[in-house]
Amino acid sequence: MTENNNDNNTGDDAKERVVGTPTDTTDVVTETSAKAESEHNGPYLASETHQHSEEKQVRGEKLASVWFIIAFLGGVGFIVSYFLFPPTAAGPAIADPQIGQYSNVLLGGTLTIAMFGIGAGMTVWARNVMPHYEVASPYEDLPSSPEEKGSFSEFFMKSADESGFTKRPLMRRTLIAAMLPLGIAPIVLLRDTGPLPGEQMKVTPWVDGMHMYVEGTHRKIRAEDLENDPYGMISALPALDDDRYPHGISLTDQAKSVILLIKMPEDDWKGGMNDAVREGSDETRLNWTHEGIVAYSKICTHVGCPAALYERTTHRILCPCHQSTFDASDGAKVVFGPAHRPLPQLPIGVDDEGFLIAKGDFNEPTGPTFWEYRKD
Amino acid sequence: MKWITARRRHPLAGYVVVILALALFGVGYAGLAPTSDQAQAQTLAAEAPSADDVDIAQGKTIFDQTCASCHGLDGSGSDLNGPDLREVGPAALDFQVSTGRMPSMDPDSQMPRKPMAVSEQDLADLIAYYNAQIRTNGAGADVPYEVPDAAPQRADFDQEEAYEEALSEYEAEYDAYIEGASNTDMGMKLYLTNCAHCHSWSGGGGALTDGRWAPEIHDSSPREIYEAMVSGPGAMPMFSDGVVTPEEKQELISYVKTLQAEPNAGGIFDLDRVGQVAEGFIGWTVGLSLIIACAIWITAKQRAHD
Repeated sequence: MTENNNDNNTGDDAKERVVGTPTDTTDVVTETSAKAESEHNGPYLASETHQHSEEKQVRGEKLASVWFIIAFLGGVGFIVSYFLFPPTAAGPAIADPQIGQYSNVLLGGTLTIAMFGIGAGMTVWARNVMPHYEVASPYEDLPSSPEEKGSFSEFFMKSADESGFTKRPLMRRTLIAAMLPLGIAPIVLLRDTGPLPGEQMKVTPWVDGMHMYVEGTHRKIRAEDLENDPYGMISALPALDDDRYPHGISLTDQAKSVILLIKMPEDDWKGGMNDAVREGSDETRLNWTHEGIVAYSKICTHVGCPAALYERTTHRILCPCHQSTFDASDGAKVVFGPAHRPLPQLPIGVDDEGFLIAKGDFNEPTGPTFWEYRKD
Repeated sequence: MKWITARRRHPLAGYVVVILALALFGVGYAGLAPTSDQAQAQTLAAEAPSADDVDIAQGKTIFDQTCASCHGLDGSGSDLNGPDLREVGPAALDFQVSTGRMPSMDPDSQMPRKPMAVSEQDLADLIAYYNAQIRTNGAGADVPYEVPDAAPQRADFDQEEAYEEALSEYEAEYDAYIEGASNTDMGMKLYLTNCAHCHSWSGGGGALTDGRWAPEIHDSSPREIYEAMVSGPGAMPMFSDGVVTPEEKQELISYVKTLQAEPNAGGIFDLDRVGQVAEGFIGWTVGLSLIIACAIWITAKQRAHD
């Protein structure tokens, strides 16, 4: 079509159409398109459905060729850059991370140029060389006519009768029985997702008397270790040494039980520390601290990121994922962000030798969303 | 101007503006983003300077001239937002001055890392004066002189030999400290659980609340990292030798040093290791804008008079 059009156009140079006037019939590509054009109801005005002037086509051809040449060079460049950095040690080897960077940039860059060039060239071609008009082909109505629908249901019921499905109850019922187990099977297979969690999500390995390890080491921490930190902070885990796990504690338990030990001057405590640790309890949050040391779950109550950006000046604990902010001096109340409830607090104290110990489990289950549902 | 007036209604003018704006943002970011090749302060005091080497009177002069306007003549602080220095300890002082954060030009804003404003000798004098006159009952952490500081700079030495000697001495000390770390895995865990939240997994730093930020730590010397841990500059909590023992700190610092030596994987379009989320966001925004611009171009309605 394009070729035809070009031919046409070349011949018609002498009487080039004035822009804005109705389309000259000799400009039309074929009979069909002429009809479609005159009848079209598309978004373009009839005056805009035209073919381009020869000048414009020549310009478009040149521009498109420039893009295609750029694309060609990009493609050649891609092959060259592939061989530029051989995997062997001689010369700039790709194994060197720095060289690998250049290789990546060159490969990706040349490929981008090649593909963008082809796309850009084709767009220029379509916009400046190809004629510009709309072709409409009408659809029939999508829903079937009432007659067709009626005849189908008649046909369906007749077939059911003829096949004996409605007349032979034994066969019908056994067929349904045969299908029933298959229908239930997917539900039964859900068992493979594992046992029900039971109490597991509500309890952690922290029990009364459990020592604390500084996370990453196997060193028990004492209250007096924090003596020189009027504004200290450290991540800690329960002091477990289970041989089954390389770090003495399973990852699941680590994720549930990791705490942030924070030390601050006792003058900095705010009113929230006098609240009961949980509803109906006569212990306050302050009872659960030890000489200015407080232990909060490190797992954000929003979606469970480790919240540990602690600012000692404001006592804010910030979660890096969604900026939930908790006030460590005020019972870890939410002061900003999407979290709904404070970080759970762990009751702490010291044993006879001065080691920090837990005095029980958290006041609330640790972790994210699941517990939000229960609350709201 | 005429040139622009003639072309501003050109059909491609819109795309040119979009591309120029994108390029401006890209180049502007690259220009404004903090660069990592700032000058490092230098020190070479493997041991605490002996009493003969420091001049407490000189230290007092420096303190009164450069510190007292905010921190008060007795170091007790003032209304000008200068905190009380009497219990912060010399490690804090050494950290703040050697990283160029103090003396501060603007007490109301967080100070970035800068070249040190005073000389090494002045700093030693200042610390001696602080220890003798301002520090209360030995409060706060001491300067960890056994931990190596930044490498000596040629400019601080008159003679080439003296510099070479100081440099090789420093390098031996530095290597001994870093290689003395035997359990970098532990250092990594300590870093990731206690530092990475603010300073980022790559050490590139990150944002805090109220416009504060955790600085990037690529330029920090082992001693500066140590001092930051024990003194807790700004909003950073403290990690005293009781909480993280000196051996554990050595592992941690050694890990940070391996982080610093890590080649930057950003290639020529590197975003200064701002982190995957931010990099992804920038990639999406810029990439999608370009794709949308292309889509607009491909599908744009052609006008007859073009």
